Amino acid sequence: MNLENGQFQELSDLLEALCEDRIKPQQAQRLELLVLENDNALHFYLNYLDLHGTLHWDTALGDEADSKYPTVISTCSVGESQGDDCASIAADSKQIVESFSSNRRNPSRWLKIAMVIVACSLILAVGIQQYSKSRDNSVATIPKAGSNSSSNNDEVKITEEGNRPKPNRPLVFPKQPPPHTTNPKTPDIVKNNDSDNGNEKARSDPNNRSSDSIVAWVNDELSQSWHNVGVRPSETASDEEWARRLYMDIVGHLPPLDELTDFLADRSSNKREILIEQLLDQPGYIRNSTTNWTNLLVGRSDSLNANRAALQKYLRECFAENRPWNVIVDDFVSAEGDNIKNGETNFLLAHLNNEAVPATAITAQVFLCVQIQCTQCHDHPFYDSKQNEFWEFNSFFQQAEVVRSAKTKLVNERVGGPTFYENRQGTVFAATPKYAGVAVKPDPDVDLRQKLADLLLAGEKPQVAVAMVNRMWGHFFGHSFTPQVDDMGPHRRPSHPKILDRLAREFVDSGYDVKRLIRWICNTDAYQLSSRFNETNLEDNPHIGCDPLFSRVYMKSMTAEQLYDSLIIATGAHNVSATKWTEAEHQRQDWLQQFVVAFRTDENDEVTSFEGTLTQALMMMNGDLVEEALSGSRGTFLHKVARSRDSDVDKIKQLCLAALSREPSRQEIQVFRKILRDRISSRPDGTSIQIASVEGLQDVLWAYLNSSEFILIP
Amino acid sequence: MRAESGDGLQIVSETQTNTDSTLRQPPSDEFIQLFSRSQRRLFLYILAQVPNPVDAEEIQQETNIVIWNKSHKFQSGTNFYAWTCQIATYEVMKYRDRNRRDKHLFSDEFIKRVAQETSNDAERLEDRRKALIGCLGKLRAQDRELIQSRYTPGENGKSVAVKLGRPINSVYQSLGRIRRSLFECVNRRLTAEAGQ
Repeated sequence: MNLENGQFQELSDLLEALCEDRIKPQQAQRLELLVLENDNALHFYLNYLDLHGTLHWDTALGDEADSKYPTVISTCSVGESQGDDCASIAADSKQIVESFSSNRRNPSRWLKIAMVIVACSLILAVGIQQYSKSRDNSVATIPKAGSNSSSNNDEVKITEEGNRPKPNRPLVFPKQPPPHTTNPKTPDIVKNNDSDNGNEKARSDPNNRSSDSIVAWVNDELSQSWHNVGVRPSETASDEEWARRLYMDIVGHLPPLDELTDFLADRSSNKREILIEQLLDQPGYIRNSTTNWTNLLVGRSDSLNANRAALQKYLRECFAENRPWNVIVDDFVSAEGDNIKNGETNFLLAHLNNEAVPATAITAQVFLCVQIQCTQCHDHPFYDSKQNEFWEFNSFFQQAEVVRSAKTKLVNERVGGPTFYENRQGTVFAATPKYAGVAVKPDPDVDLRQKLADLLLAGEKPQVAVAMVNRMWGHFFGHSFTPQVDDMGPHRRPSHPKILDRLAREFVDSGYDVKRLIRWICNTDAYQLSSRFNETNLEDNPHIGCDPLFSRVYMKSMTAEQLYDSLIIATGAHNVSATKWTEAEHQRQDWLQQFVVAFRTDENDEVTSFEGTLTQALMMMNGDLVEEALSGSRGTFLHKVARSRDSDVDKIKQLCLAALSREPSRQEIQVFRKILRDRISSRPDGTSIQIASVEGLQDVLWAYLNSSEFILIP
Repeated sequence: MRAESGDGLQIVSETQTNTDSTLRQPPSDEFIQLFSRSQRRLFLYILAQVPNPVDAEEIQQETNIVIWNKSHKFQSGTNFYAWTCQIATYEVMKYRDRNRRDKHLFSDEFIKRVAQETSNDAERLEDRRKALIGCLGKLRAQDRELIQSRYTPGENGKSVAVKLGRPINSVYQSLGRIRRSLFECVNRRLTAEAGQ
């Protein structure tokens, strides 16, 4: 809806009044005016009433709502693993059919109506006894006929056996079906995941139990390790700190004010576990994961051959449907096709310059967390990796060609043979494709990259899995099991090899289920801890070189993207209009470009000039959106706070919660109250109290946003 | 049977003449299917013009009587929804006539415009509904319970506030917040799907 913020707010308020029957005549007139003069307002009105009406209709019909109308289709049949959902859906569908026929607590509304009609026609119809009797029968059998045929007619994909999920509690429905994948290799994937799917279904209940046991085991291991070195873990992080951290880590922005207050007010004992689930379900998770992986795969600057938007679209699909990680890696390594339809090609397309040297190095770095670029020219200075190993790895990419015509395509040329390279003395060597000791004959008929993908994922504990665990753990805890997350060679012994090993194996066993891995990590006791030191764990400071103990969670700094998103949310700019995904991406990408300087090196290195200071960020922030939101004009969050009848203290509280996800200290309240009062008392002639108070609140919000606390993740 | 309903009297006379000559066929299976499938859409069509759900239901019941009685007039293969909308529009007008003019919230022009726009948009309704289902699942338990209580037949914001012992305005605020977040969630889902 492209409405101006002021109108949006006003319409929203009027519609709320309408829904609760407390709209006054002049308000109704105003609503009518707004709706008739603007098509967007008209649609707003219609959609809002649609929401209101649907809630009314479905609740009124209770359990039977679903049985009449085709509900969410699960595309389990497509073969993509959906884990727990598939199993519970299959189980529930049987229940639906049974519950419908037995559940006659509330005769359906239209059955009532139909009866009324029948009654009327009985009265009306004189001398058509026969007719009314047969009518009775048809009316009585309508429910059954109606539900079956309506489901058949409406949705071709629903079959009788029940891809129709429905829990027994009304109004609680399972997730949406995932978007369709455009991967041309679907047959293989279906094959892969059928076996996964079978396993998933078999372990459907044990899934939760096994996750619990994995988490418990990690908790034990860690607490044992703390005991062994005589360290006590830090205290548990406060709900405010923890929520801010979790939101940042999963959805990439700070918690919106209303969600935060809800979480803080929640008294359930397992609310943290629930919040993890909820955030994994938010579109923010998809967006954040897409952003992080796009940056990892192709950096922040644009490349000649790679289509960033197409890559992001592919990644969004992956994270939306929780595509198994091994499938994603396979997709990327063996990608073929045009760079728009096959978004996964863009990874290699960005790096196939310079004889695929960058592709070799970055593939190893991103998916294996191993640095091999130095061995391009010489044997690795620190460990056994030799120059020939680099070129043997590189040799797998020799068939990949970039074709630039009407579209940019990544194709496989049917070539074969050794790859030649020089050492620093100028001697030429030949390398043939080999990975982890397995040699592949470089035949023109062999798809080398597909072979590579297979080798990368072979075995019970491929490095791909180990790397992913290391990376994810590092993402959440602020430090991985190795000093640098993507430098995991033999020279780097992981700090907690048993935990790394077990998690990697479980990750493989789970079918490379990324969300489950995240759940394990976020549900550990260690992740609940504060980042504050206590007297015993002062050495737990890996950023100055010590081994991590994970007796506290290490503080992180916001990335540029997180900062952008958080500023937008803290100022309420996201409430201004619901922009389309791609548009919002463009805006953010534009803003980010000013921080990125791409140094042209042979390895496609990139440096960002983003130092992580807010002033720098805001100085360069040329977005109208945030400027307007901070301006305090009608419709903005700031204006709402100013306009409300809350006390000064409450207003300051709201701003602090919005920006820093915590309540203000007494000192802060004192200082800011004085600022607010001064603003009003010393306002220039002609300025209203209202404006002066908005300006005062601007000062408060600005101060919070400028604090170093804003930019740090607790 | 409503004596003042002009249509009703007409139907009576029709039926009475018909019974002498022919036995009217009961509505076909196809008609029954179409009828049941269109109920929700019809309700929403009426609701857009008469924003109170209880009133809208009442009008819908009257509309259904007419639809049922005129079932033989529907031509198979034509747009059933459009046909029922026509009948509903007429019932809405009658409803407005019955109530006092000065109690109307909206003008005739508004009603017309809204009716026109709603009947165009039938396709998206199912998408919205599916999206809403997903969004409801994401609400916190207490929010979902509040919404369920509010939309239980016979309840509204005020009655729920009384039941819960909460100040009315606070309940209005909560409901507003929840509805708005559901609204935004649905829009986001639909936009995301369209964008892909």
